[in-house]
Amino acid sequence: MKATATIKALAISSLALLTAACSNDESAQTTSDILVGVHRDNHLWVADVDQRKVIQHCDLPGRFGLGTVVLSPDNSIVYVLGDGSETVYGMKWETCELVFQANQSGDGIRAKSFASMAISRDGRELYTIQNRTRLLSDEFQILPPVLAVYDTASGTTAKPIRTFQVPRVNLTMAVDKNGMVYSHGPDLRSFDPNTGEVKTVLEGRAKQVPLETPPDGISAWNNGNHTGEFIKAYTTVKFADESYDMNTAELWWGYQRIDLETGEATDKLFGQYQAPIFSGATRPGDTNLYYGILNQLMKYDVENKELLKIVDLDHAYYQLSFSPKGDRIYLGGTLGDIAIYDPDTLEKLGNIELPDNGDMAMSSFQVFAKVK
Amino acid sequence: MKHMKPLNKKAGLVEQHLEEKGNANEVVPMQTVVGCTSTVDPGWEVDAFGGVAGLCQPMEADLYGCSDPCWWPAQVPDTMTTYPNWADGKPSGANDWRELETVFPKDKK
Repeated sequence: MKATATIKALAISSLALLTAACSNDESAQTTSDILVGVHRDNHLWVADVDQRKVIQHCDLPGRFGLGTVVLSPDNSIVYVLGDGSETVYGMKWETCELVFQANQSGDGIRAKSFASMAISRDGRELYTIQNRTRLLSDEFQILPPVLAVYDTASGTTAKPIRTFQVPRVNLTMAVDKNGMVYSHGPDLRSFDPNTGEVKTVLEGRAKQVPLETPPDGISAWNNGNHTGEFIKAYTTVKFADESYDMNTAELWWGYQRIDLETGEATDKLFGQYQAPIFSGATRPGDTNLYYGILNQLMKYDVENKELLKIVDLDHAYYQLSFSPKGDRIYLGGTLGDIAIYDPDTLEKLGNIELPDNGDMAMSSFQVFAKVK
Repeated sequence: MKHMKPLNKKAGLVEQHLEEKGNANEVVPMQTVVGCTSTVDPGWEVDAFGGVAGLCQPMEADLYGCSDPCWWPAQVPDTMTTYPNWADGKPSGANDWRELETVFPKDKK
């Protein structure tokens, strides 16, 4: 029995050592973060953070804007919502080859998607929400918006394979592990891309909390695809009593968040208003820390509802994204540079200048780690 | 609408809407409005508190971010639909703003 136990123990410890060695090998792989986005006049840019430089620059078809981007699951194809938000282009960034195109407008109907684009976890389907207008000779006829589902294997003449009518006003979108599609609009909604069923996951405009105004926020930058969250910050006014006196009221920040791994929905206040936030994220590995930006970079302790630190930025940035490991913050949007910050100290670590200082404006960027 | 009388069909529709729906709060601050829609968000003049600290700094950082989504079409040309080529060849708002020109309806192409 003793010998058997010893052999078993040895086997287990050997297996443990082997497993540890394998995991160490995996984690020891040297990676560099790659950032992918678009900018003016109308180009795709790809930057290597470790090299602090742009490593690929491609011309895009059509014209610029708004420039929301998503990545295929293997990070090889960048899908860009371009051409005045009317056309989706899919481009292999390593070769600048156009492999997908979906013209949403046509047949007298103009269809625009305002940052509303997402891709399924297996990369086979692409989702947009089309805001459609029929252009008649004497009037513009507003049509109901639709969720359009594209097969990403359709090439450069892609047409929707399914469409479903959806409520008005939708901005950023994301897909969770189970394939459910979400949109930040006046409410946080979910869409079943197979049946078209629409649900309100978290109320926004319709939310009623005594002595609080309904949440008010913006969501134009899809910054959580690689970290597994879909998040939007909002402000609310908390009144002291039913006199609703603004002189004694407090302005608070909160967020509505979907965990894209579990589908869990969270709506919570995380601290008093100090400065505007256009986008933000919780830190990978420590979701109790929330970071937000516009003119300042702010770090909040969510549970204690405390602003831990705030620093001025060189200029306004619209989008904050974390590195996949959570050890760096990348800021983009607005002008033509990416800023890199340390999430512990909020110290700036550097910048990456884009060619011609071309502005990113409202466009978004995506992040992934690439083995060197 | 007590002191105003609609003179054309569109104005009549406004009156009809008010009669049917009253002064419903249809325009709510911000609330993810985008795309040439009435936005009561403060413009480039003042922020929500009557100051300027809450506005994008510097203004040029927000220039194309306002023209591309048609956020404030009265202040900045709408490059999403009406003046798509307004900023062509001027990729940097901070460097190229002097070359941006005013627009008039007759300039539409």
